[in-house]
Amino acid sequence: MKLGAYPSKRYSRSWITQRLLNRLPEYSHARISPSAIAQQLLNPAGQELQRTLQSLTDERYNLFLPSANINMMDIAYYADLPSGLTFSKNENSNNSDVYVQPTVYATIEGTEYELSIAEKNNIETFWQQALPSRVEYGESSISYEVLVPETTVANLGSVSIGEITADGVLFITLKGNSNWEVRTGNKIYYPKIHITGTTRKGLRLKEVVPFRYNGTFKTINEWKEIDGIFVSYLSDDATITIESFPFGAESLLDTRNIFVPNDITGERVQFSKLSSQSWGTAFAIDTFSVSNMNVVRLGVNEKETQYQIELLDTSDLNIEATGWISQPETDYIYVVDNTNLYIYDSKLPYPNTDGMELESEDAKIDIYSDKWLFYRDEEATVKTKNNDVANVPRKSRWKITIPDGTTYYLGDSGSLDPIVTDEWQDNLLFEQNLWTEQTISVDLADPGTYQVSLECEHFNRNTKEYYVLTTKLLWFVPSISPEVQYELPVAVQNNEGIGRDSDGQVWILKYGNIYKLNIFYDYFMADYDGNRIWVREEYNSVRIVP
Amino acid sequence: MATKSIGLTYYVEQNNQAVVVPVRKNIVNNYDHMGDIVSLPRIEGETNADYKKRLWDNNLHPSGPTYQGMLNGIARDLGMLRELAITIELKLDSSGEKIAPNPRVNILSNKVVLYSDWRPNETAVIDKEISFYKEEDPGYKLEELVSLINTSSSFSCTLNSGVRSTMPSSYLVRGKTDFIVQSDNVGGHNSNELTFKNIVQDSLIFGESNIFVTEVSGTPTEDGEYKVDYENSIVESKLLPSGAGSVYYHIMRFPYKVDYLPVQLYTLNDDDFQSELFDKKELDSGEEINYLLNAEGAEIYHQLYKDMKMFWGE
Repeated sequence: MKLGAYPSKRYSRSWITQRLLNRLPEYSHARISPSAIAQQLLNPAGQELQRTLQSLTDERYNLFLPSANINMMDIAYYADLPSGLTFSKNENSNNSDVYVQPTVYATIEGTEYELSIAEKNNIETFWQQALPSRVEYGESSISYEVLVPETTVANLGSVSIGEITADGVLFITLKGNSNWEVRTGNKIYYPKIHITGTTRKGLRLKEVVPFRYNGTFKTINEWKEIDGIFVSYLSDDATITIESFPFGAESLLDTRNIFVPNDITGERVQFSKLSSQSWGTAFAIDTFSVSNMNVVRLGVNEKETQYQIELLDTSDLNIEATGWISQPETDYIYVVDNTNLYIYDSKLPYPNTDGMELESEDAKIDIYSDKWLFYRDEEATVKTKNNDVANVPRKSRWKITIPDGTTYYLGDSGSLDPIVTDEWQDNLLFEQNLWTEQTISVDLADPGTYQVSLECEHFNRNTKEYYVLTTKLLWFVPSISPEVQYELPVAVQNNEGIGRDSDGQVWILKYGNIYKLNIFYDYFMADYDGNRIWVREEYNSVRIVP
Repeated sequence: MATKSIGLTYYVEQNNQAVVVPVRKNIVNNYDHMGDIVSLPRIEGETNADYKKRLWDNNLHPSGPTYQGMLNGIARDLGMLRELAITIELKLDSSGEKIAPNPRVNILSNKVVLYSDWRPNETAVIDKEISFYKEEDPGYKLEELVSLINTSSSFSCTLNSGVRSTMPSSYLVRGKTDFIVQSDNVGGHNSNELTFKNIVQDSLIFGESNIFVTEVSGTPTEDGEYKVDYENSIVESKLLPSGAGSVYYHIMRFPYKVDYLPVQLYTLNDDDFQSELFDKKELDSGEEINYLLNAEGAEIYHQLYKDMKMFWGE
């Protein structure tokens, strides 16, 4: 079964996959071809190793105070079943006893609620991967001050430095710089910013942040007070912004993911951002158009969007987001709009491949497209390629199945024609045994999966019979629905953004102030053999029905 | 800030169900390992964010055998961190010059003393003295102390935002604005700039006493004469110093930022503290001495003797 451009050219080939492939013999086609079976086979293992490598990196960060994950499991609460009471068991079809999931209730502000069990009843889903279950206004707000509002490099010396609103790392946004290296004699100097002040640890320190591209950079140190800022080797008309939260950032470096493009120019550093469109908001992935991992310090070229995922609410309607943050060490993103908080799994969703298996294995006319991921309203183009000059089709017709499942004939101009007549197009050059390659462009008006198929009628010279071969191709306009969605407390509705400080506290920006948002995780985890349940929040009491 | 442990579990059983008060449990993670390195265990119920602040405070406010060191260590172990309480600044005249010639602030165990002219040669002109030890003292609450300092002719004071204004002033961490520079190098030039600015008048003691003999206010013209710019710390001499000489001096540090801590240390040989524990008696000579213990003094001494292992009466 051939799935057109999917999944052999999927974005998700991992960095490790290429490292594994590099161990194949040099003559091996699989070293470079994403469509090779070996690559497709190794990729899942590569993805898993990539995650393990990321976990090791995260663990290494945890060895140092400034980089340690503040969300590491720190306090939990347990409740034991009294003696004589144990969790119930049921006998399953194999005559083995299995525990029955208990029902647990907790009283929150005078009302008793039923708690959910952690998804897989393990620590990972109880803690790191747990989704919020409740949000409340934290009854605290602070005036938000931008440390250095957007200022040109030429005027930076005359700007007074503001106070840090939330002690912690700082975000520096560089825009419009065109000067990436200064050569003097046999030395090369790169642009950088020098920040002097007092860290939260109480040290007088100077941190130098190198600039390798226009974008937002994060300091390594957590700062308490800044009293000096100096930049070097930047263009005079470039602008600098320094703030406690990346509210002014266009896109943020996504340290968990690396973009591996189709064209085998190497891995690219991936950036994430919200992209505002006429129909709503999308979560977009940018990379440098040329620079790969090795030469990112010369990332003088602009970033371009590789793909974007439409963000929907639980009713599958588009949202107009005001800001986003990521949940550390997961793929979850928290997105806010004027009224709601949405939690999405930001990974690229899978397209609907039902029907792709109907492709004929020995199709003689191949169809292809330059890419398979599109935005809504983008124009997608499909082209034919004749692989068998000895047996051209006698007639052919195009079909397209759009996201709502309706199938249409596809006209030459990209029109969607209802299936009422057979719409076969004769190959006028059939007698000369020739085929004219075709190109059709289609507007992709809705998110979802589009399946394009070309049916060709060929003639079997041996059996003297006509037969139809079908070639298929998949286009995908991705969209995601939230894992969970909560209405924001009234105090933080109609907001302008969301941020997470270095202590893990979430804040909402509104009218120049930041408001504390408390996020709760009302889950329990059952230790069946230990006759104990664990909860994350501090409840006055819990009621366990084993 | 850590909260108190629940430490209590109860069960109400009915119809095969249980109502239980959950027990808090700290889960050991990498922060605890970092705490082990600096011998600062996590307080029960302390979150990662709070614990991280205390671990950093270990570096910011080191513990040790001094007043400040003991205060830092005890408070940190109890989960309390030093926070900025008040800032004392100098009042300036219309020409922008400081009003007090040699200002000094000294926060003692029972009072704040504001000097308008303090020099190491026993010149001490007191601008204001504000007691805060007892509840009836005028500066007992922080807001009262701040407003009284502001009535001084030479000093102004601001309360840091977020600090509880009714907090007792005795929470202030004691200290003084002058700082002693034990040894600073004097360069081999006729005009030398010293390392620290704002020198206290009459505090300079030069190692090369044959070069710096007589201080003059104008340009030095005779051998042994020297002139000092106290604000900018520039010393000008007629004779050329060797370049290897040293100088001892005091500097004043303004604005003076004062922290608070709900933990305080008192020593019995502190005259200021003792004056709060004894009734006074005036001798025939006019000298005032500590006479009999007052109620608080008696209680403190009694408690101390009780706890001291002196085996009296055994």
